[in-house]
Amino acid sequence: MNIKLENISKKYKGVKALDNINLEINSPAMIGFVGPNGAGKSTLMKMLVGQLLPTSGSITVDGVPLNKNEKHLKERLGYLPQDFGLYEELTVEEFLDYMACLKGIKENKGESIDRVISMTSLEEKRKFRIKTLSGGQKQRVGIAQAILNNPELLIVDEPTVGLDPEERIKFRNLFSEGSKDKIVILSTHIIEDIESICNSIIVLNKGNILFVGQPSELVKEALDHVGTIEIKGNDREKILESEMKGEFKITSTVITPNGTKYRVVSESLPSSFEKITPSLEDAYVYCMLKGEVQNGK
Amino acid sequence: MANKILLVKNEIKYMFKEKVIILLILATCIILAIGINSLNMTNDFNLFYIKRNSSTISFNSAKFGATICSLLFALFTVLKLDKDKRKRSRTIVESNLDYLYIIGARIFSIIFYAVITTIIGMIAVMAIQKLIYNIPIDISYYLFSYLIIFFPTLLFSILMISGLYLLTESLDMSVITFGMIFINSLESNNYLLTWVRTNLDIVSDFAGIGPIGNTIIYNRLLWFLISLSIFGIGLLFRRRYESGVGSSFLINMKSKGLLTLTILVILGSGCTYTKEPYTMELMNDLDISIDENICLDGICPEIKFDSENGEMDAHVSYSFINNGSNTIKFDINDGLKINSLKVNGEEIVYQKIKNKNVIEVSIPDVEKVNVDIFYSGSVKCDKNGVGRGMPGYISKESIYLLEASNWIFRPLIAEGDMIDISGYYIAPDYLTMVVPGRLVDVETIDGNKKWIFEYSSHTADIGAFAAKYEKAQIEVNNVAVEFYYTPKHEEYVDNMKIVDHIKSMMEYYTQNIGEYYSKDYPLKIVEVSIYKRGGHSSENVITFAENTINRDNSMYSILNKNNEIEDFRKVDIYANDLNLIAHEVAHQWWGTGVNVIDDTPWSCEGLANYFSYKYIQKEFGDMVSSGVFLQPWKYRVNELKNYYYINNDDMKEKLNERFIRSLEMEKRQAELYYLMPLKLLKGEEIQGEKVFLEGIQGVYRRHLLKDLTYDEFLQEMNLTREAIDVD
Amino acid sequence: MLINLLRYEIKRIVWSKKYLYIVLLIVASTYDLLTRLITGGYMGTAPFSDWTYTLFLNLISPLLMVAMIFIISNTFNDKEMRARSIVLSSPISQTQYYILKSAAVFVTFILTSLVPIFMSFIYYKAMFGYNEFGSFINLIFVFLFPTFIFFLGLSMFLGKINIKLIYGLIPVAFLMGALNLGGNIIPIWADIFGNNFFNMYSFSMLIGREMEVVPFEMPSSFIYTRLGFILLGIMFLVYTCKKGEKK
Repeated sequence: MNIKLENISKKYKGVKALDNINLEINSPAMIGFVGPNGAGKSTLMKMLVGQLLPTSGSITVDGVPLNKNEKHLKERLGYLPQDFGLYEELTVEEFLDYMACLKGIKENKGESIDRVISMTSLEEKRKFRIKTLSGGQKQRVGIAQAILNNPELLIVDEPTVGLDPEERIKFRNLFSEGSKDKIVILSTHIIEDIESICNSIIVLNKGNILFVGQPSELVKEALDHVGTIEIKGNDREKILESEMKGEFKITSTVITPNGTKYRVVSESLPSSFEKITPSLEDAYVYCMLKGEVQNGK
Repeated sequence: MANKILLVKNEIKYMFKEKVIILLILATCIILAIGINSLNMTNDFNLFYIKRNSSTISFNSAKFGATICSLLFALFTVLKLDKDKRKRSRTIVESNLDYLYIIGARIFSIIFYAVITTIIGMIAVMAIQKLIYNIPIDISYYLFSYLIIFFPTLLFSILMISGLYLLTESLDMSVITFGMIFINSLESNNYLLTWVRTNLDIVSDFAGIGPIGNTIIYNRLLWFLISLSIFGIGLLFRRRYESGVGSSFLINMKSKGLLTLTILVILGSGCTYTKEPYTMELMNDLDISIDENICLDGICPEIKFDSENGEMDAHVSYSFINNGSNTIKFDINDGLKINSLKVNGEEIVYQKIKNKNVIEVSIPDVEKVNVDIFYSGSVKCDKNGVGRGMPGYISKESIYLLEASNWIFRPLIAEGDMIDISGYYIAPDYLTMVVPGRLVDVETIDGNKKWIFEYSSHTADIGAFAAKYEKAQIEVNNVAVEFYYTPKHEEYVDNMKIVDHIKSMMEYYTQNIGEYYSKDYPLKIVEVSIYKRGGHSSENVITFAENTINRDNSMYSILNKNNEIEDFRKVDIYANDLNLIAHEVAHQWWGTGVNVIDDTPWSCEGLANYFSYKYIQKEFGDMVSSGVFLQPWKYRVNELKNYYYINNDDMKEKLNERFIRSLEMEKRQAELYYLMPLKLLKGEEIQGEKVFLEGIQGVYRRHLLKDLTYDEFLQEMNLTREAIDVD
Repeated sequence: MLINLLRYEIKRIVWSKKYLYIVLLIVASTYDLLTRLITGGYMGTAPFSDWTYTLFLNLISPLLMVAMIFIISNTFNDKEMRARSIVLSSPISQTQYYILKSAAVFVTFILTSLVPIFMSFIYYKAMFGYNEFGSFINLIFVFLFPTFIFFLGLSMFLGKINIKLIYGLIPVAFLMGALNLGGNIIPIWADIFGNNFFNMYSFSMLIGREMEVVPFEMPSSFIYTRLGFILLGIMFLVYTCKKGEKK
């Protein structure tokens, strides 16, 4: 599968949610969308599933414009939106059966349902009305319906919200395994999730793509821009002031017996800081910082 | 407390910002404006083209507006209450304060806007009245229509739907349930149940609000309690801590104040409904059995009216000739309480017959028996008749007491040949009293006037009518005719030549039936309020409802300068109005002059209708008289003949008592009022108009002040039942 | 496949306390209408005449229609809107989606209206031993169906614009169904329930009738207006299905 976005922009009442986005995705891929709230992740995802139209630009799926090829896309799509509702009057099994009908699954429908129920550990709840489930369980039903048709393109918007750590790991792996022969796009605020499974990362901010590439490349970009410093007593005020000015960003603060140890990311790291190897999270923060500085220029 | 006020203030502010409320106020104004003419949109032919004035404009607009805005406000309320559930914001809101306050604040704010809407709507209608119709404003009618009718309807709607919503916690269920309550109110005739738009068709221009004001206020009180009860029940069942109905109730029940209050208002509404003080079950004619062994010889009513309080104080002396009875029964009015009762001068104990408004008095086995009853109170009428068919009321502006109300307790005995009636009515001096028979004297005592009268008649059906009347004295063929009407309607009376018509009716009847039955007693024609529709004739007094002479100026175009009919569009209404008077005047010949003994279809109604028809035919020609009277009569007779239950007697058992009775009543009425005149017209057709009318003149002459049976009539007219059979 | 979806959609509507409550209300008011008004017959006609049956249909339809409008409003409420993000990511098209929803309401309408209809049939059979219901079916088609199709289309159309408009339709439906305005204000083409026509028509046909059983033959102009309502309803539906709603 090939998805191509060309010069995509989206305006809501004059405010740009996406600004001239260009992107090409080929299967197999496991892509992570990261970015702060309001960066445009969900907007972009909704466009990819054909629920929003771009104000300008074009999206093509396998070479055909999306608006003419929606059915082709949707037959191959699994989608879990960030904010979604389920038919709560139905039981888990009924709802999945309903979705299977919608997705046009004819062969082995029962088996498919059984499969996703077991994948999402909902066996005990299959005969329960969705109304009676907890938030996390509902989230699992949402994931179950998304993977029901074994989609070639799986788009999941913050799928691990509301799941306990164990479940999170499980689903991470589930998406990762799925991406062997298809495209999985996942948006999240949790860098850890991406670090452990994504082979590609896209950083978005204010409707712009700041970075596209492998996580390691992002980390590489942040080399020499991450450091630590331990500060004793009253000098704390000073460092906080510097952060306020935007000279650097503090990514962690640890109280030590000698004072406070700060980990910072900065465009130009002062010599007083001790350089260290950046984590993906540091790299993300650096990327955001760089983006801000560039915008500022 | 200050916090709660702030909460309400905020709610009011936010509602205003949402703009829906502005739309609602605007819609209300438009609906009220449309409502001004709502009377002409009904099927009530008799109320078309009623003159516009403060009473009709304010009431019609408020009634029409209340009907529609009740639903609109209910919907608005329930959408506001459901908001947090729909938007899933309840948890957040509830984490800050008791959700009850939010509910309270919202309901308060909506009531606040209901008040604003009422005021703006009222001002808008007043402006239309003043600026477009150029009619002076009488604020009291507006206050009544908008503060007693329009606003309370909105208030009840808001409270009821809030209660239903809290109870069901569902938009759909509460709206549908409310809709059912709403529709039930529209369908009912019982004044207690019609909370949406009252059971009034119109507010009288003649009598004002007085006669019905109390009942409307009582209806409002009852429904205030009912809507509070529903609201209270809703509060008791409002969902708590995400629990279901039952467990929430158990939690809410711990609030003793709310529980007690709810129980109190529920009991209060039950009590208000059952202990209702203004109406009673009127007895049906069919239930009354007459004691033939005793007859009435004389009656002396001495009545004092307290019109300010709507009450009367009566002393009525009856003298009877007893041929072997031990008791006399009196049909009474439940609103009048007996203070004492004397038989031949001795106070005795009477018995009230259970479930009936009848008392039984023991009498000695002597020929002459005098009964004196002292009673006082206010007259009650039927629940379904409030404002439409009130046989009696006493109000500040007017008094209207028909014999049918039993305001003079009616002895259930045979009537004598001639009954001597003499007595007096005392009423405030600003009222002109119309008495039966001959007015002997009027005395003025302390701001009151005492109207002394005497009369001799074969019935004791006396009424009392009073208002601030204008009196036109007419002399027709040596018969004095007194025409009483309110000065408010003088312009119409003049323009539509009503007095000329009365004269011409009298002349027509004198010429074609015979001389008026008495030279001593003047004929009194009296305008009365619309709270009793139609007309009535008893003794030498006839009454007709105000709509007959209170129509719009546009009716004037019917007649041209030469009093010829020019505009045929509204002539039906005019002909109907005159027919009403003509019918009642004809009763002076048939009913008062000749005592026509009922033998369905034979009764005085048939003769009166026949002659009023003849009169209208003479005045308006065949087209109008046939279109307005003959054709509808034939239709009605034919129709009833084809009634399923009339043709299938054996199926009547499926029906309940009340329905059978009303069906029989309908049938009887059609026979008396429509079939009989058609039979008479058939007779006329057989014999020719001249011969037939001469025959009738003979019958009248021979039976004047006597009884006339059907057989006597047929025999003397040389007719047979078969000959005048209409098929 | 579609049958399966429809089955679920209907189950979602019918399998709820709300629906049960509505049915109970319908049962209660049907019982009340039959015993209080219908037994007596309309304008002196037999209780099982076409005239009386039309009256019955007219009296029960406001409740029925408002219940249906509420059910339709569920297609546009917040819950459904949130579920749509998932549902519409499947290959089902917008048109199919609305057809599915409309079909479910349609079937529910049939199920719901069968309640008063069967109750009336049982009542006639038990009370009067009457069982020639053929002509009633005709009346049901002429009076109930066009009204429903029209409201279905209109509600779908309004709901798509804004759900508040559907709520606004509710008092209109209640008032038009419950108030008989005598045919003066409501012209025949706007007489959605057919009750104003029925009122005028029965007056003209039954007053002064010369036979016991007056056949209820509807004038073709009325039939055309009923067809017009069906057509309008369908047009609204087609518009709803076809009009894109992507932002």
